[in-house]
Amino acid sequence: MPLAEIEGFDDDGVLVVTVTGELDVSNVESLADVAYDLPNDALGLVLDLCAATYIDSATIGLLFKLHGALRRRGQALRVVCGPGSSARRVLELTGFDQSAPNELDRESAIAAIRHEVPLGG
Amino acid sequence: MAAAVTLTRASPQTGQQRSSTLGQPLAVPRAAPREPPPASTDILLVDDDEQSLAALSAVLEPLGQRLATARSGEEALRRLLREEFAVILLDMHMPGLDGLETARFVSARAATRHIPIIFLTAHADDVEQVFSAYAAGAVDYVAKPFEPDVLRSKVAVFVELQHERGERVREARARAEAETIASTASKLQRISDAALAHLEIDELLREILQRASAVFDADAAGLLLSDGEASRLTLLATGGEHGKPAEPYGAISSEGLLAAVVGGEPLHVPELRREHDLPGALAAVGLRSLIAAPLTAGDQRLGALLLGSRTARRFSEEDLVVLGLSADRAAIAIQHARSYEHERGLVEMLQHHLLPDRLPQAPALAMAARYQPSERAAQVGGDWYDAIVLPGGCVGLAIGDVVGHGVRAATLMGELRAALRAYALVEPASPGAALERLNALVASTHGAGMVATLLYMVIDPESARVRFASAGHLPPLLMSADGETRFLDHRSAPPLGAIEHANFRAWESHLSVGDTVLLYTDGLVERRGEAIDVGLQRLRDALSTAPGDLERLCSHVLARAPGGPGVSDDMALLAVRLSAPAEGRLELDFPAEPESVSLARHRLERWLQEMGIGEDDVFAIKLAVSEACANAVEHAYGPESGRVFHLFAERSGGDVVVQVSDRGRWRTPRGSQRGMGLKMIEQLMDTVEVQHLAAGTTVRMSKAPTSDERG
Repeated sequence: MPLAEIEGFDDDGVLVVTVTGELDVSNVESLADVAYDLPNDALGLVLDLCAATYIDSATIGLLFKLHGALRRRGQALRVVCGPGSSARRVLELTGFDQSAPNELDRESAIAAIRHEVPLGG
Repeated sequence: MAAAVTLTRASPQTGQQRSSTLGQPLAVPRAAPREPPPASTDILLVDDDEQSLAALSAVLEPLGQRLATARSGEEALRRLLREEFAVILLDMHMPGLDGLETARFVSARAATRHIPIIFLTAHADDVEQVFSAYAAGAVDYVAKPFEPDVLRSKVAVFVELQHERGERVREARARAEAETIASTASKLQRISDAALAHLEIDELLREILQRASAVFDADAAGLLLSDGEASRLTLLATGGEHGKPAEPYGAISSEGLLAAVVGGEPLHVPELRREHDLPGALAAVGLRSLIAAPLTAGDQRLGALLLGSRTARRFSEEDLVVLGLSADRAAIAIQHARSYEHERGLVEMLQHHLLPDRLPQAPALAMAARYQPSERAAQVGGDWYDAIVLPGGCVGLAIGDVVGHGVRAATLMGELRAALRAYALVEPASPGAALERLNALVASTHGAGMVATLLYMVIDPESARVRFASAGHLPPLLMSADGETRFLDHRSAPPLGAIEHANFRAWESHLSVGDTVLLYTDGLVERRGEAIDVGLQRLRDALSTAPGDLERLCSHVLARAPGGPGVSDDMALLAVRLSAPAEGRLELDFPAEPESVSLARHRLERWLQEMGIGEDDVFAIKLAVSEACANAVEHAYGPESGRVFHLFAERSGGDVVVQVSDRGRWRTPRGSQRGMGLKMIEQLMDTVEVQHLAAGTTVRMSKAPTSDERG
């Protein structure tokens, strides 16, 4: 059984990627592969970690890199995780929640991206 | 009389003898001078990259050997036609003839086949590449960028071996020369014959002394062996009824009378006096006269051979001549025995290096192992065992016997062990498939006739299931907790290398808690002239009467193995017992791979829950430990045997203490995010200590649970 299921779908110009399971040094690269596949004309990327039961420093390292890379491309990133969830605890522990925008649920994240990048690309 | 001492000296310029005081020159003919040994051995460096050649030269320069370089496979082969080399360092990737092709040419030519090849590969983890290299005749490989120390010590071992080979060829030549001189003196034949060539050094010394004192009818014979500053005298005093046995007298001063003999000058003292200041051991025998000849082999001064009499005896001129010749031959025999012992030491070192220095720890498994080299020098090497941590909590156990002995057997053993470790990870669930791959490798590398037996077993402590396959090896012996013994059911496939495409079926058994499985080599059961069943029954009896503790069990079984003169094999033994999981502590090894981090995390999480630790603390501890494990995986890039990390957890007082150790080198975190793992650990745990030692890195953490559910 794989450590995590990673699935992506397009929500009208926003790529939504959900992670179910655990992310660590052994499988964080597969998340990177999906995230960096973001089309140039997409508005941005929502990374939904609500169903992620575990994330580690390698995951946070990727989030910081994605945040910088997408900003340079004029696209937005929103990380989503519920209050008190495992993922949120790690975001707080590493200060990612203070450095990059994140949301408590997927809908607010998609709306935030549409608001931030209204014209697309 | 002015002096009673006659000293003869060989004048180095003229080769004439001159004598002092007594004016009675004694011609002491000596063996013809031999070819001096070459000052150094050549190392051939083959690489198309200039910078790489320069780097290799710089690393190997301290070895003091001559370095020759070639910039292509073709150039290397041309040099090999004209020149002798002790070892070749060969780059894998070169335009034109590549490393593998070059190696195949080298091992195809009779004149170059014996030259060891060390491959330089670009990627350490490219298993296929390394196996191709072995198939093409390589004895070792080093991954680029290489560690200077590792490379230098590997090359040094092969230079040493090659040098010894040269020494033996030269000694054989020297002995042939001595033979021709010997035919002129029948007495000489009695002192040193071919029988001496096979004795170990202590026996050899005793034999030389007995023969010399008999031939010369002397009251005492002695060998003074000088080893740098210290000298050791072995003295045999005859007289009385049967004479005294030879005894080493230990270090004596090499000053005085005998120093000149060690320095190369024969000595004849017809009447000894106090001022001669004889070593105490000689004085104690009551000697009155003495002759001595230097022991020299080539340009090496080994010491002196001396004969004494309790009467004031003037030894004849012939005595002196024969003593001189005897000393020459004894010196060669002694040097030979020494280099033989040195080689034995080398093989033992190799063997020791190739066996695991510690067995891995696995939950619910206890393990102990023994390797006992043969007492006979020529029989060292060949038996081996290994224990491999597999993904998923299983442990692979191997025991094998390479037919043959010495450096070659030890080297093949090393190849098998390295290859099995790789195949075990590729085929973690199928011991049969792992042996099939290994068999194909042996068959293609060594051809028919190179036979090794091997039993490979995978134990899953969780399901208590064992699966094993056997390549001509003796059956595993099982003992249940109540002391019943039986051999595990299976049919053995042929030994490795016997048939190119052999089928290795895996056999399965189930264990119960308390069951002990014993893997062993034939030295533990076989005795010449005895049916194998008798030996196997003896092993069952030994096991069923063994103490419970596994270490003591191994000693007990070894002590009951066949001994005595008919037995000359080395022995290996591996015992494993399925135990109930230990309470209160967790101790596990994992392969140093990214996939292991989650295995370690889940195992720790279960243990923390079993310990009744509350959810928040479980989360914090598993996050911190998982980060430490990820660091360990990243550091553990050292030698293969070190590619394991160790997880230890216990309740200590109220605290949870966890330790993660690796055997790699600490790498300073790079990049902006690289130190994040360690910072997280520091925030999550109460205390964190990071210890960087040469042997590896240990992260020790503790936390007092705030939400202990036990209350």
